[in-house]
Amino acid sequence: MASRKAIAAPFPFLDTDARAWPGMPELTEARRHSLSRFRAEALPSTRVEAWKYTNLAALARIPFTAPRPSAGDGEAAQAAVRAVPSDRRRLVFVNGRFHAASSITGTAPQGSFVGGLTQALQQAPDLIKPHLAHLTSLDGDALMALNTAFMIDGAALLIGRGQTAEPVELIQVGHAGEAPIAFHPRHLIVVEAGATATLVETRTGEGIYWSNAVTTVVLGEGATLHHHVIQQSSLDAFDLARVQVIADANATYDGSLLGTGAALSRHEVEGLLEGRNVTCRLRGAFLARGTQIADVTTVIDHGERDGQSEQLIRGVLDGKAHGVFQGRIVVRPAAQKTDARQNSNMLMLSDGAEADTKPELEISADDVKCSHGATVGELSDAELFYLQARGIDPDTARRLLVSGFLATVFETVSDDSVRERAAAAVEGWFAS
Amino acid sequence: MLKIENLHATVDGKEVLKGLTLEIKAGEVHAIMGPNGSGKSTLSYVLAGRSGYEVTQGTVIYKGKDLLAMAPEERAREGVFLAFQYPVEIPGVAGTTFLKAAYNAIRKHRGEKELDAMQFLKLLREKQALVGMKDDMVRRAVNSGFSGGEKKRFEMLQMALLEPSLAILDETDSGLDIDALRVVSENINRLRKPDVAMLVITHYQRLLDLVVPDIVHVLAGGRIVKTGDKSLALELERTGYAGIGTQAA
Ligand SMILES: Nc1ncnc2c1ncn2[C@@H]1O[C@H](COP(=O)(O)OP(=O)(O)OP(=O)(O)O)[C@@H](O)[C@H]1O
Ligand SMILES: [Mg+2]
Repeated sequence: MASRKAIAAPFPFLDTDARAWPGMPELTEARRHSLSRFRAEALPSTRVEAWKYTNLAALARIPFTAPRPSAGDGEAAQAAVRAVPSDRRRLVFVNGRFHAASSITGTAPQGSFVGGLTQALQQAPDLIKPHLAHLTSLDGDALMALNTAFMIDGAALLIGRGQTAEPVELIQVGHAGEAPIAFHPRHLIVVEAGATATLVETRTGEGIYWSNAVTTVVLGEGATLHHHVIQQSSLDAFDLARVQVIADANATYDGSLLGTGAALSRHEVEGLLEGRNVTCRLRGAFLARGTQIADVTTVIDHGERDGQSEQLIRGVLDGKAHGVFQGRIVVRPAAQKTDARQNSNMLMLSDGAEADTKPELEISADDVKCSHGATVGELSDAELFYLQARGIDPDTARRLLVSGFLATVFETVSDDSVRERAAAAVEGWFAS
Repeated sequence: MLKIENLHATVDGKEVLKGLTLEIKAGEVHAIMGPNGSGKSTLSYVLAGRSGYEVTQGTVIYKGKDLLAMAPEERAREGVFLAFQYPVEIPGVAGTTFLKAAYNAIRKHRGEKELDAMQFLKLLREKQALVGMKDDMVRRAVNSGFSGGEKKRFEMLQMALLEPSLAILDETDSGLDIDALRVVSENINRLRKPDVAMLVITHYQRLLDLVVPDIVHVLAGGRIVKTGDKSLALELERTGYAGIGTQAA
């Protein structure tokens, strides 16, 4: 036990023999280092600033084991596929492992790859090699180290120079039996110079599991990635997802999140805007009730001039749910003419719910526009009355207002199917 | 149709309506005029059932029932419609979604079959034509970013769609250009039927030239202080409220 900044986490899966894992000999050293680091550091407690509001103590108490392939995996994968109303290419993962039988990868043009990461290391090592450092990096916190130590697989979406890729669905299923399981997906998304890609992630599942995912997004000059996440994980699950975006000049990262699932979820985006004139758009919406904890944490680091970042995060909290938004904007000395905007709005549907928001600005350039606003409020009586005065019952009125509150987040999403699915997920939340 | 007797109501502990009595029969159009702050909007909110408007005395009977005992949505379903002085913006909720929810709630209450999306949009188009509102306006979020006049038109669209039996129009004519004023008056006149009653709150004779009222009331200090026919409005136009022996509350 290192200090009060750590929560001891003697998970059984830490003793899994990783030597037998396929496909990533280059990672052996990184795994070893990372594992000993996690053993030393354990899980961050709420005394660690970045985890001030989200307590992982409940996670630390569960004896997570490593997942084993089971007979029901195929059926779970199929059910998840059926739930996604799309005939696009898809990468399906069960408990973090690529499920080839349920996936449709199509044929990628020369210089591109769409499939599983393990598969990519075997079939397209030349495409992966230039980015291997992202997989073996020893930077990051204890959860990142844990991911590196135990990563087995993930999505590999590599889009070659100047190509416009058809959208890809990334469907992830958690499928735990009696015993709680933990898995550590590692996704690598590379969009080379001038290329455009769309990735739509859905996460669903059953049982008690912990998904500790890391997604690395590398955007070349002028590249664009639309990255949408619909998180409907098992209500007994722990869904921790970190997205690291490394963007070169004139690139665009266009992201959204709609989350309704998980006992505890954290969607973390770290945007490193390294080149000039990078655009970074983050939209986040979550709904939580019961004792759910929903956390969105962002760090947007403007490293070069002329960058734009825009964040709109909205949470709807009912019951005794706890919503968290931490948003840090860093503007480096070189990042003149940065335009950074951040807004968060929490809508409280009950007295027992709790919201914490923490905007932080660290500005080291003088000619910049930065703004942030955070509100915590309730449904407006005037709006409710207006709807009721037209014959709409109070429950339906509340539902319309909440849907509207969140729909605003997705107004700027260009992909119709994502907007529709986000709306359907909100409807689904009310119906469940 | 509507019988208000000795109505007293308070807002935030302040008594605003102080013994208001008024009866509107089916088929009649009554105009209410009165100084700013005299309680006209308060009356309209009390009739529509807004919370925070507490009735401390008096009765309101609508179609033989105790209106004050009904929830706001029940009143609307029973045919009460308030065109708001200040229509409320509802971000993120598409006009079509809102209108369909309202229309079907009322149909359901009447034991009629709810309309599906196609049927509803067809009906809505017809009503849009009556108020001169384009598709893109009704698809936008309810009243969000609408101009003052557009909001009033949208109120008229709702009235045309919901076909109330008691319409209360709170200064629907305020701030309108000439075309919009014509649209509003046409829609009021179209609704004017033997089984419909209307209460038109206004400050201006120009509306009453287009919608000729059967009866005109002056509301001042939370009471009806004078009642007459359409000539009363003309008299007010000449003399002001002071001229008829009333003043602002
Ligand atoms: N929430 C409130 N708290 C305190 N006083 C209020 C509140 N709402 C209304 N009032 C007061 O009640 C009185 C009547 O207001 P009301 O809006 O009914 O007037 P009105 O006749 O509609 O005026 P106008 O012609 O300007 O629309 C006013 O003095 C107003 O200040
Ligand atoms: Mg008024």
